[in-house]
Amino acid sequence: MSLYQIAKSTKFATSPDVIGLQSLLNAVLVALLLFGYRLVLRERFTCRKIEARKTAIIEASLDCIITMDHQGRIIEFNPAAEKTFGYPRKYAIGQEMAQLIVPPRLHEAHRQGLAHFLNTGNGPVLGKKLEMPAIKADGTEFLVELSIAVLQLEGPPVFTGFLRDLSSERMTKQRLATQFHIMSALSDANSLKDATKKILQIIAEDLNWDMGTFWIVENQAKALKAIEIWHRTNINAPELIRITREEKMPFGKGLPGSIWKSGEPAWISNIADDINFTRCSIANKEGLHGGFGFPIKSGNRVLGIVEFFSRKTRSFDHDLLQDVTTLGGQIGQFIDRLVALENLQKTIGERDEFLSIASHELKTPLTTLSLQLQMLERSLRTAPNQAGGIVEAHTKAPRDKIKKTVKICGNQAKKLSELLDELLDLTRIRLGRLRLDYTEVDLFQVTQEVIDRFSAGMNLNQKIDVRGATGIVKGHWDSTRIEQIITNLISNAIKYGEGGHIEVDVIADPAMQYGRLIVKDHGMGIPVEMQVKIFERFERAVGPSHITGLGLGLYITRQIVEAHGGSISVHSEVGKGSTFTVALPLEKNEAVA
Amino acid sequence: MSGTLEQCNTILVVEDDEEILSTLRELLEGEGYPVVPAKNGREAIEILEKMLHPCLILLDLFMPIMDGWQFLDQLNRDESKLLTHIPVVITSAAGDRARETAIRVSGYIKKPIDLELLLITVQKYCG
Repeated sequence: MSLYQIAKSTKFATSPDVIGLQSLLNAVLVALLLFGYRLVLRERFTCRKIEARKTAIIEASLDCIITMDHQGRIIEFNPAAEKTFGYPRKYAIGQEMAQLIVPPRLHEAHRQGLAHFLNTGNGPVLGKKLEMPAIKADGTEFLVELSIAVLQLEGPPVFTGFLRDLSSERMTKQRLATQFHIMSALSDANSLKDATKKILQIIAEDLNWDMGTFWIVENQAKALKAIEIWHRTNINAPELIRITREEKMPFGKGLPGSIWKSGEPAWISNIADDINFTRCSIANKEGLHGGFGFPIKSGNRVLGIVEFFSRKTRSFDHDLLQDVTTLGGQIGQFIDRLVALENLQKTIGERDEFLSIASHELKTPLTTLSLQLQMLERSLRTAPNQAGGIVEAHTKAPRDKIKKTVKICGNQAKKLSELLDELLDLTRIRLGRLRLDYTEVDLFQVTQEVIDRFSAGMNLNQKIDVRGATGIVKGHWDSTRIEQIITNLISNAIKYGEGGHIEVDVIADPAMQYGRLIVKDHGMGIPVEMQVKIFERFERAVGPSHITGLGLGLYITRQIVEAHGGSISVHSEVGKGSTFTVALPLEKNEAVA
Repeated sequence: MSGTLEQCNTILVVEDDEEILSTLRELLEGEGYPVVPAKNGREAIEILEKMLHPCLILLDLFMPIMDGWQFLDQLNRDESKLLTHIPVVITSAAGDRARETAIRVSGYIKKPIDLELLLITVQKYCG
């Protein structure tokens, strides 16, 4: 009954005073009602506002917020949880939490913990920060930081978990550590082989890959060659390893070939889906499914490719690819430095070997020279010391002996001088100081003179046939240097010709642009792989102990020919002999020198 | 092993440089030691197979066809063990490599050759 009804039912209800009072009461009543209604409205509004704010906080949270009821079923699953675990909220609500996000091996422990709390009110994990593994919709396990709050209002308790994905944080730290490990390994490495092995092992072990290959660009073959393969001991992929080791990967083909072409890192989530990966069926068969690779670059030049495979399929990892791009540049710089260092060491090694050969070669004429002088000195010392002086005291025979000694010593001094000239030529060429004095030279005439000199000292069985005529092949060249070229080629033909006859042709090409000197022997020949090298410094087609000389002859010859604007080439077959062809421009070509 | 018996003071000189070879021959023969020359290791082996023991082998190291090191290996492989007893003295300008090899043989005279040292060495082995 309302106040109005109470008042109405009393005996004063009809008196004017009563009527006035009743009106007043009515007004108060309405006011009270309005006030109460407003209070209710405000209360409801405030509640809604709080609710909306709570929801907004939950929605906006970067951490996952997941609430479950006392039966372990999910009743709240915020957007961060959706993103982290890969389930839509609609699907997650109502699911058993253990089944959805806890790794199977921990299901039982989770359920027991919940039952224990419901029975005893004790929960050792409540109100603490924990690190636990969790599992995503795609099956990937990862580490989360977790705190659980229990809310006990009316009815059974509910549990709210706040979870943070630690994997990205860990990953960043891990990748920084990997970068550091690689940099340390590179600074310790003495050779490319040493470095590549360490690089593969560090990346694979730190970033959880199972097999890695280091490919090097072979520019001549236009292909990639695997120089190092690393795999975990529990990986059994013999066929993939064999094919990777044996087969070269052409530009644009397979994972490494396409990285070489693009110059960018590449990712294969599942090898089975990638038709461009030529080794896919073997890798698949041998249990490798995920892969990625990145280029080793120096500037824009790709020096090599590093690729990795894993047994698991791997979802695309943008951050990893960004990191390895930087890493590829750093490894590239290291390789550049290493190659420069190796070249330098090779040059120093060659120079050391050359110095030892040069010293040996200089000592050979010196040995005869010195022995002859010691013998002469000894014979003088032991000769009868008669009045009028030692030499005069000798008979005709010792005088002949002296003449002979002087001749031998003269020859040896000449040999020494020739060797020193070669050494000086080497220095001149290296410093770019090879000077040419141009005069008109008749190539045939000079050739004939050189051959005449050689023929005098040759055994009768060996013959030099020369074809050509004077007055036909004439050019503006340095006559001393041209003589040097001819001398070198003919002395080589004698030295390596094994006593067979030697053919020399002096001709002009039909267009009268070049004069050609062709020297052919029928000796041991030069293997194909040595045919380019013999024109380089300190190279010869046979081992150092086999042939005397500095090994500079063809190098110097080539330098002189090229300084004249000409060229030199060789055609040779092992066991059949060699033909050297020098082409010299017939037009005056002083600018080249 | 068969062949003519050489005088016991014969010296086998293995040397590829003709000038050095003829100088050594002139010197040693002048001192009364017959010289058998060989231009490389193979020639030396052939000579050893034909003649009986020289009192000394003077051996150069850098030579064509068969160098001094290959010659020594061949010598050591001689199953009859007759050749292994022949004293070998290295005459070489090969520096450290010659010094290392000299440990395996009787001696080492570096080039350019010191005449007095050579004569003392020859007297030591050939009387």
